[in-house]
Amino acid sequence: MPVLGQVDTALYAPVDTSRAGNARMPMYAIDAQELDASLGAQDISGVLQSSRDIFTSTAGFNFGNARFRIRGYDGENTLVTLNGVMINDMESGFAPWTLWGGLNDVTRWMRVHNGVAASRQTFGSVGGHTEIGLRPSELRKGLRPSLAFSDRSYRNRLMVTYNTGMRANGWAVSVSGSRRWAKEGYVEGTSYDAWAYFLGVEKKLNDRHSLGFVYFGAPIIQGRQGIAVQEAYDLTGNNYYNPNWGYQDGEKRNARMSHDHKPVFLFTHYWDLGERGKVTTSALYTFGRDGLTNLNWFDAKDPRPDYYRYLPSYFEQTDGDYASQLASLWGSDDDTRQINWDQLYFANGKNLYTVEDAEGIAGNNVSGARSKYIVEEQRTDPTRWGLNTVWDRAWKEGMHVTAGASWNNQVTHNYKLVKDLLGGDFWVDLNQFAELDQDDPNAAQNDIENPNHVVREGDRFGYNYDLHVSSINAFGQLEKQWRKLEAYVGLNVAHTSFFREGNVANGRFPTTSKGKGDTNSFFHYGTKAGAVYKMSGRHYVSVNAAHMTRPPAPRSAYLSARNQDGVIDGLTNEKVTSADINYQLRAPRIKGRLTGYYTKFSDQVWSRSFFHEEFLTIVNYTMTGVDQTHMGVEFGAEANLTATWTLTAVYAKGQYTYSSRPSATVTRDNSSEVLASDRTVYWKNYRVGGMPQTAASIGLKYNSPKFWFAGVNGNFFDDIYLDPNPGRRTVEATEIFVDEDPQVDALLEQEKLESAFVLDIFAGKSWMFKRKYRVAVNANVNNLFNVTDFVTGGFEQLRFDRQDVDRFPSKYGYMYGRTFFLMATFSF
Amino acid sequence: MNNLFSLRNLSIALGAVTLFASCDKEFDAPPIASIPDSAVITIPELRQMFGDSGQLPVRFTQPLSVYGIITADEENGNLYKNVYMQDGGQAINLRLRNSGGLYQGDRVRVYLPGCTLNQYNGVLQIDSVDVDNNVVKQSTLNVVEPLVMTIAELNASHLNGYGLDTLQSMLVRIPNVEFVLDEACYGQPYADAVGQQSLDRNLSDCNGSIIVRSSGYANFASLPVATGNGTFTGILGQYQGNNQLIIRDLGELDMNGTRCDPCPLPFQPCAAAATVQEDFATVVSNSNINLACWFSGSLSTDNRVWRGGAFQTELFAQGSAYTSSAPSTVSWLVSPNVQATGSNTLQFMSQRAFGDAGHEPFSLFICTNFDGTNLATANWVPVTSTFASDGTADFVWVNSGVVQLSGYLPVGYTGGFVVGFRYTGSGPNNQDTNFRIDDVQIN
Repeated sequence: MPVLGQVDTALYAPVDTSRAGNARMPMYAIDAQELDASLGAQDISGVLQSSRDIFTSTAGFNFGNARFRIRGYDGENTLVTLNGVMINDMESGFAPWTLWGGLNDVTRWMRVHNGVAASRQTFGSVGGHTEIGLRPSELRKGLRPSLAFSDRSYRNRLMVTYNTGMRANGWAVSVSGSRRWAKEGYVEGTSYDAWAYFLGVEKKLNDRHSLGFVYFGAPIIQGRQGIAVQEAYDLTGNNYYNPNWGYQDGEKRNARMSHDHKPVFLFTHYWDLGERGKVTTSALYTFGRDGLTNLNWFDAKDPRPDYYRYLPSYFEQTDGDYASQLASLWGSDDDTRQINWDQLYFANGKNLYTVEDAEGIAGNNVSGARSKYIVEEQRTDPTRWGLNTVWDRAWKEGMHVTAGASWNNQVTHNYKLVKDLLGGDFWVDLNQFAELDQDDPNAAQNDIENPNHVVREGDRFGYNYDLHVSSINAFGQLEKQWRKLEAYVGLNVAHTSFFREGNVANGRFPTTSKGKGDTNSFFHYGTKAGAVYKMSGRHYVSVNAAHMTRPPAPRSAYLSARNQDGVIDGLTNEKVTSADINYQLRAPRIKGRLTGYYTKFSDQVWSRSFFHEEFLTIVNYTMTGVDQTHMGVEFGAEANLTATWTLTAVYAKGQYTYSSRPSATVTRDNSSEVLASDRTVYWKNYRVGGMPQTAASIGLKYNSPKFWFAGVNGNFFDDIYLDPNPGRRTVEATEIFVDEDPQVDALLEQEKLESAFVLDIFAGKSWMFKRKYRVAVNANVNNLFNVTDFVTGGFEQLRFDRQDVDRFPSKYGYMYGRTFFLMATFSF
Repeated sequence: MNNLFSLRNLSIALGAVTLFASCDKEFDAPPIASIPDSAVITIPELRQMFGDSGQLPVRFTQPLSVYGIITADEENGNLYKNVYMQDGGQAINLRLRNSGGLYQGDRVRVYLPGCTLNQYNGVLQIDSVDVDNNVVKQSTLNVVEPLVMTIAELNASHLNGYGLDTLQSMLVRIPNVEFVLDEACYGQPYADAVGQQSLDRNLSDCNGSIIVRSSGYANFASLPVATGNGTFTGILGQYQGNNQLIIRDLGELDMNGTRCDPCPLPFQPCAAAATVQEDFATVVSNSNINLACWFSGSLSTDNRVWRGGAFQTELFAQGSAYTSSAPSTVSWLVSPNVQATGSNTLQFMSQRAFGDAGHEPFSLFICTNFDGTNLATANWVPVTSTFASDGTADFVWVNSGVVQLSGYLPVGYTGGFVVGFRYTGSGPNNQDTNFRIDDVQIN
């Protein structure tokens, strides 16, 4: 049996559990830390810093480190708009916060609608709506340089912003730029180099019309952190052990570098119709690169240091001496526990090879050092157009109407290229798994029109396709005010379609890999309604409810988009039903909110790829009919104890569960063979993993009249679970056991992680000079007591051995220990 | 214009930011270590060394290298984590720490420190070879000429003074051999691909025999062994002193000639079955029929054979001369070999489509001496039955009813027989009715 190589699954939004930190999805990157500091962190659902709601802002500031998500919602449930144009990625549904990372000065005035709510911008989504308005005339006039130091993802930040404000000649200009960088961040081997630029111009044509143009971008190159099994953390004595890096010629090099840069162009027309309301129309264009590098290898051993066969536990039963020898190497030897780059160069450089009939030309033999190991870059480069117009006006008798329409189109070019041959001369574009599987010589070719394709640095290989997504929608909203009651209703209708267009034909699916695939079309809609009853000027009760349908995210809809056109059988709209009830108090010295909510998601799809122990091959594991129920309470209150002392208390208790028995289908990645279908997955009432379902915070702040403040926050997190691996919860997994067998419990149990308490402190002071210049210094220390054993998430590996679940143990990620952030801001 | 001044500066700064940001840091290649030059030892000397050590494992610590050409690799899955290397008139097995990286035809230097010279079930091997660290490739695509020998010569002793076999692991070629009748004539596979178990097959020259052992992981494991007589090429492997040949490349086997021990007739590549049931559910529409144990052939210049046909979800076999430019089309579909019982019966469905008046394309036969290839020389006995004929409406299935076959076989016949379905037609003469059969049952 030839060597098993690597799986090319990184383009699935979710995690391929056979690889650590395959974080195309934000869930497992622990750089959620810096809130003010990094809107650009990949995993914050909304950075709710500017919300005036005490619950929402505390959840954003203090719970983000623990991957808390409001009401347990994924990023796809929060709609983000730029001047009204939806910016959520159309392939995955997620909001791309990195697009404007480092532009805090111009994006900080976002408006956050939490949950289902009335909005005069868009219909919104179940998790709410974040409006980012980029309008130079609304940005505070003046020059604002700032300087920050930290020891989190980055060490230094430099930011300069200059806004002219609306000038007498009708022009307003805004420019901003920043750099955030770290040679090495909190986690060993991670690096950070992020720049950002922003140019905004607004021209007031007359009293009625203004035109705005905004151009910005945020190139970021980042060395990623991977997460590992507990054994690796224990052996290295470091809960922030990062398997992604190794020494190359004495210098640290990370194999997982992300490199994103997607400039955005945004034109906006502001049209004031006077008493007939106002119309805002925007056109958005963005394009660019989104790349993530990774090791790949062929006919060689797995170069990842934490591959399970390189860990002492793999040898414990068979060769105890070697296991303990290995354990001591793991304790100190970077050539063992990290990637050994020099060794990869060494192996590549002398692997003389002759490719016969290269490029399919008989007799065309290419000789040279064939790389066994390379660094490849997986690219998902989007090109995006968006158009949005929205009109609203106050009508008679306390009525307010809003209507809008939008069109969005995204083409994402998915492909790989050779980033670094690591000392070799070329790579041959073959699929190692197909070679293993079949006797069809064509099957191994990734490009049958170009067989035995010799690729070099910069060349595309592996797979290459475009995913086209297009969507139109129209919405309307009616609000009405009475003396004690306010109410709204809204309706949204939309049509979304997507298709795959393959650019190469591969040998596994010669007829379905190239060309335009079938178009998948979905009509979907949303309805919402809500009301606020003002019991008095201090007490409010409100309710909101919504029902909406939405198409599956194209990224999860395909069985194996890298290989072929096929989508999951029975694709259908997902349904979301949600309701909440709120009590709000606005007393002079105490403000607060108490909310109860219930949301049900039905008919979701789920798809992952991984090496399957039962079928001994790379499989695509898909499920349809996945339901989730999210319910819970939110409480937040702020009390002004005295003129200088403020006390805050926040509490969130949720119960987020899977609430159906989905049906699973397992297909072989390299052929159309269906290995299993209609498998029932018994995961009703399993908890949705990866976030604290319970969180609480209590804070005390002193506000001196002499322009300084200081405070402390204690945060508590509980009910964190690992997301269940569906394969383990099937009859097929348990059928060989009887109920007393310990394996049954081991397979079925869901791991609950430990609760934790962390303390944060913060302080700040500002000075005014000549009544004109202001200097402000802010500092905070997170996790003051340096709690380093708080697991905030992880995942069960999808690959499992039913006799011995511990053979492929779960991987975990820890919250950072004590870190600081120090910032000085100057305003002129 | 203080404001404008700062604006200009900022624009410049921003431009610089954009420019710098698009730079992508590339890593240099590090200085590459090399495997030291060292004294050279030959494969015969290694065998000598192992004998000198009293056949105890030798762990290499001194800088020593051995050169050779890889004669068999892991590509087809028949070998796993080991390859064979040959030079200087002898050969040796290399056992690898990790699979992959060495290919047939590579001339390599194996730097021995870290490796061990030992035996594995009697085969001398260099153990624990780390391809990344112990091997330097010198050149590729080298050809080693196999040693041409007979089975008797292979089975003779070739021990050296220490009792070590000097022919072991060599690339050998054996002319005029065939897999034994029980394997070759009844479609036995090279190995158990389903259970992923290795299997022994027997190669014979009608005087003596030798084992061919293949892995269940080999990509040819499920294929039936070569049926004819000819030249075998492979590695002379051994297991505890017994020879077992290893196929390194199935394409090298040239075994299509006339057997010295002929297969019994009728020959089909499967042993005689008690019954046959075929609903053609696995055929591919418009592709030539290719079913296990069935034979499909043509006696016309257009080489037309029966193809898979489909109507909505229904699949069947179809003969047709449609669009053929040959003056006549003769296509045969021959059933698997069936064991005669004295009371055999046949039943099948038939249908015409796009029927041409006066065209009777179908005939039914039985045969006891079909040799599996040559339709013309077999003795086909016509069988009478009911089937769709000129006048039957198109697209209507006709049931043959139960056809008694025993009357068409010799009295007391206990061998096997096959049933032949023949299509005849002519495209140029517009005699190109489509004729379909389905649900064939022979009991």
